[in-house]
Amino acid sequence: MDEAGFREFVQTHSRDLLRTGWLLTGDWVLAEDLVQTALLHCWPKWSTVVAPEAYVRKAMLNTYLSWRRNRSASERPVPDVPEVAVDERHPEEREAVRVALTALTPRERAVVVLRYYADLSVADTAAELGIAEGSVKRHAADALAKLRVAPALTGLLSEEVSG
Amino acid sequence: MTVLEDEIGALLKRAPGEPPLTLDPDAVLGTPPHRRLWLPALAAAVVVAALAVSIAVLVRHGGATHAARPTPRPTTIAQVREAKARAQVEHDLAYAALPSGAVAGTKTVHTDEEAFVVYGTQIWTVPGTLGAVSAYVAASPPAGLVRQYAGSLTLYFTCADRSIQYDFAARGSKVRVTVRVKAFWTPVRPQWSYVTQDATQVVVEIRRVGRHNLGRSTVIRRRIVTGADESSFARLVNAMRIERPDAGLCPEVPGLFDQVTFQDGARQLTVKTGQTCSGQDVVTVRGEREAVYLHDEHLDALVRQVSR
Repeated sequence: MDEAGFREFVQTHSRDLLRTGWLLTGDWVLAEDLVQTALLHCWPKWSTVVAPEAYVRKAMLNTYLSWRRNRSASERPVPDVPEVAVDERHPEEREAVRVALTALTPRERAVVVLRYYADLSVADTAAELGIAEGSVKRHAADALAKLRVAPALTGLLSEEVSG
Repeated sequence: MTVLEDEIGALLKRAPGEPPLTLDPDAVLGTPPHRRLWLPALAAAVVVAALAVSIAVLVRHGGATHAARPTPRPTTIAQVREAKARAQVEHDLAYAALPSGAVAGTKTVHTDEEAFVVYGTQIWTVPGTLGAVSAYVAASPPAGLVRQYAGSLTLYFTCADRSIQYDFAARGSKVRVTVRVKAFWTPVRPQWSYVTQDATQVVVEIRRVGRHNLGRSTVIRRRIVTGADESSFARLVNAMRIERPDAGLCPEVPGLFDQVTFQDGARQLTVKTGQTCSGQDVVTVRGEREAVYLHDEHLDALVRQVSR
């Protein structure tokens, strides 16, 4: 297996993967767990992976969505109480986004992260999540409708869209 | 893209900021990087050395060793955390600071799942004197750890989630060094320790336990919390983060705590306030079978809430 390639991938992409994990979970520790779990699943197949970034992200999304299903019976999300030093830039904005994202369903949240954070097209988002393009559009529309009126984002979105 | 989509995208890109964590590929790969880099060149030597050590161990103990079994791949959060702690222990044992010429002896690694800790021990034999060897180790502190204790026969380094202890013993012209390593992981908060969302009321009782009243207590407050107060109370309890059982906790001192019991439907949980060695408050939630220790972030608010 291409261990050097795997090691280099983890080192060069870890920040992006952790940010994606944070947007999905709202918690850096859970984000780390999410990425590590996804990497554990990916590593045995690494030599056959063609597009590593998309492959790991897909594993993260699968893990995240399965956590949401399985952990509903064993664990409940809690408000973020950081246990680690955090980037102090834009703390209010970070908290506002974290709170606003909790209003979305897991599937909506995954679609929002892929479409607007990772800048994937509707078709690519659908492929990564394994759902129809129409479902992606519907989830995106529902999510945007919730975010547009989310109290936490008041003042962060322009009047043009929030009004 | 609409304006709303553009603005949401910009917010999502800014909000996370710089991650405060870094990922270690070795937590997934499970072996120290340097050893892997050397492996191709030293494979034959390692195999020979391993055989020699195995034979030496067999001769010394006069018994059989356990066959290596493949470790199951972790699939849950708890397993991933445990695997990371184990990888950390393996790493710390492999990179213990020792003078050249050190010869490895027996190594053991085991996990205590109830205490959320992995223990590792490796014995080394090092040429030199006690003073020279301990001075060498003292001058090469492990990265990220702080020296907590330095004696003539022991050095102890620690940080929040791991520790390394070196014990030295003279053996003729050599020194036997026992390296003891610990790495903790954070448990996953169990479902039962949360107040359920469909609970309509909780019965909260505060008992004061006198210093010398072992086993006896006085109810100083009892109320039934409903409606918005119940939601608020549930939020406070549910927002608390779990701690490791030994994370700064002293052994329990009878008689120095207030005990808050809340009943949530058919279940009964006990929230007990106490103090850590550092004087910080902690909360214990005890279910039917076990206790979890929670972060004290919201403790004051919790006690104010139930004491009103």
